Amino acid sequence: MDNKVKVVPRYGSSFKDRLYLPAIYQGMKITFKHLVGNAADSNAVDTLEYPEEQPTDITDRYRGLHRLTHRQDDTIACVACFMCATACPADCIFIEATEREDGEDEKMPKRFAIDTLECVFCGYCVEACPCDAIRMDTGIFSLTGNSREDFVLEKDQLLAHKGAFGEEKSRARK
Amino acid sequence: MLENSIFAILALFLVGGSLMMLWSRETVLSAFGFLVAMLAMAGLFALLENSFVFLAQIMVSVGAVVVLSLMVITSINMKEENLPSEPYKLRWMLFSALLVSPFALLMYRTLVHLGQTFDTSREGYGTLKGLGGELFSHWVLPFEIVSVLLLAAMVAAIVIARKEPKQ
Amino acid sequence: MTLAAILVSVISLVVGALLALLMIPVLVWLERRGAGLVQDRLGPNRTNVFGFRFGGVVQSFADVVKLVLKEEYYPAHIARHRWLLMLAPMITFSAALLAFMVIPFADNIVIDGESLRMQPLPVDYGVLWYMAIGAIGVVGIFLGGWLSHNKYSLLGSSRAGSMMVSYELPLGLSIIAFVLTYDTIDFNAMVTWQSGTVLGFLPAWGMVVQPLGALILIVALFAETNRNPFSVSEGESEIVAGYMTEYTAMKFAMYFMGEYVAMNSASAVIITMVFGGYQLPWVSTETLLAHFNYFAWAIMLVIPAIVYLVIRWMRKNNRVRPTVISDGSREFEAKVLSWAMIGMTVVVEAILLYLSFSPDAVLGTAIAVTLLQIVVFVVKLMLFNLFFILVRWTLPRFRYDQVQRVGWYYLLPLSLVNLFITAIIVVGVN
Repeated sequence: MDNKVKVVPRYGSSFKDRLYLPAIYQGMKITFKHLVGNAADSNAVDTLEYPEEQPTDITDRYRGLHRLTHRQDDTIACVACFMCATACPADCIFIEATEREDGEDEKMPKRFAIDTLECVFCGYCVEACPCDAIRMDTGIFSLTGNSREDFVLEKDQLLAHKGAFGEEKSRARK
Repeated sequence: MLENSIFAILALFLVGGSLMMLWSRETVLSAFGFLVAMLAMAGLFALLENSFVFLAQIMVSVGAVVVLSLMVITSINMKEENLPSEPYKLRWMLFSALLVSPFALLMYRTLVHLGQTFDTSREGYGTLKGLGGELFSHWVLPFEIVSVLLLAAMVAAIVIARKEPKQ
Repeated sequence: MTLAAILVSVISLVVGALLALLMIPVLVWLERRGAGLVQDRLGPNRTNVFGFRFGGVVQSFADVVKLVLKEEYYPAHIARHRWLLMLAPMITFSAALLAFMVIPFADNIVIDGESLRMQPLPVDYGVLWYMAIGAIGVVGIFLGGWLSHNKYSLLGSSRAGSMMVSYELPLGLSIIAFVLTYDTIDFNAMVTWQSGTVLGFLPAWGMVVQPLGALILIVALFAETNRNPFSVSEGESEIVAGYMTEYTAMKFAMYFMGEYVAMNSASAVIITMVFGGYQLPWVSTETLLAHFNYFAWAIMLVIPAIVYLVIRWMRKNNRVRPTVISDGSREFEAKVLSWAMIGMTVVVEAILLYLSFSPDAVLGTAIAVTLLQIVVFVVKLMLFNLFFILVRWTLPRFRYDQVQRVGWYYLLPLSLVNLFITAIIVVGVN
């Protein structure tokens, strides 16, 4: 069995390389060009000047803040099946069920709270929901508050968030 | 008046630094005391308007000796249990002080005498130019002998610090 | 001591202290913004005081406030020696600051026949002072590393200390070569020596007269100030922050500021010895004083052009982006700064006009020449600081054995050879 030996060329032993000064000069040419070019026209630098400029790469798959959807007749789509709370890896969804008033299903949530400080925005709740009741397509990426309690979003707040990419109502039921 | 008070402060730092160097239990505090003493001595030279020796003292004593001692202290982690035990230390010290006292008396007499025999008002005293002129015109031979001595010391240090050649 | 002597020494001291200390926020700003622009991003540019960002310099002052107000804590093991822990960064900082104080920023000003030095410390042994006091800074690093009671700090401080000590040799030898060439240890005399010409058309700067010595000086000073590529002490990815790991708040601020002051002093020494100091090329002080009118008219033409270019650059760049709506505070700042600059230009033009047309304004001319030299010095200092910063963001850090190899195997023999050749040439020419 013959050994295939590959000889790798070693760089850095010529006099010019060991002197190191020509390499320094070439490197500094590049950095100097960047420095002067960017200083002369700082509008061309790619930094996003938030908050005057907003991010431009929020698509419909972007997992923003959650929202609870409505059915076509504006009732809440969620049936309090607890699938999302079970799927959540951060255990941040708190649901209390109650009887539904309009008679089409049996349950609806009395309390639906998401603790956004615990949420990891993974999207498992959206995948788990059988009724397209919870979505993360609001496109909201920044949530601020003054105390920890401000970050626990309740059912009314979640119902009030609007989707940002067209589809407002749940697709599960008519 | 100003000169006296500056002298008093510098002398205080010198004595305090030396005492700290001798008495502290931590080696790094000892080195720090040494640093303070050397800086104070350089200040005393500056007070005598000898600019070259002031700067040479800082360059050599602080920049070389103190740094060297700190390097040695930080690489050799000397702990109290590594030190040899010294029984009857106080008795030894008193006895040796007694033995050395005639020499101390002699030195005191010499230094007091010396202070009255040097004239410091010569042109160029204390400046580098004056010192250089004197050194290379009157004292060339001792200068060269000292440089040969330094060379011998350097060679000796390198020979001692060299790794043993493998047999 | 005449009134002029007292005034000049007080003003020199104030200018020197301000240059050294006020340069720290400016250097921090240059470093962060410069690093950003080199890396195709903007640096910090949001902190403002009533809408005035000044390009982000206010961020440095915000950093200082943060460092002052941070929580101070000490490692538990050194309960008895806290005072030494506090003192170690002060040693480094004050050594770096004192070493800056012998650099002249203008030629000796002659008022009523007496020639006064324009140095914060008007001594005539500047080179020796710089080398001696600069060597004290190493002590602070060793003390800091040892007292942190931390393996990594000890490693960092040993590396930094031994690197600084190893590079003091080539530094000293190249400085001796410069002293041989200029035949003086006075920084001011060195600068006036460099006002001649070499081969008839090149300015007699140290760069031209001693190219090898200048190179060794620059490399050794990079190593002395622990600056990239010789930043083995603060090898950020290797030993956390080296000897500065256990330092918080004001103590860290002292080390941090000490590093920038040392960089400033190193830049000042390099431009004094190698690049002609406070002088314009080919123009000596006597030429300036004798033909001040022509220079005044040249300056009167140049300043409005520079101010116009700066205002145009500010209008273009001091805003968020042309396509974006903002609250107009940056445009307001640009407007205020433009008017301030125009006002200053008008004042300076008026003064220069008066000086160039008044028949015998000796004192005024002398002061104007001094101010011009101070401006040239500050411009050169900023350019060289920018060079230090640019090299930091260009080169990767050297490994520690490479650092020692360069110091002992290459720079030391080179500086000895340089000294030999210089000595032969100096003795042969005279």
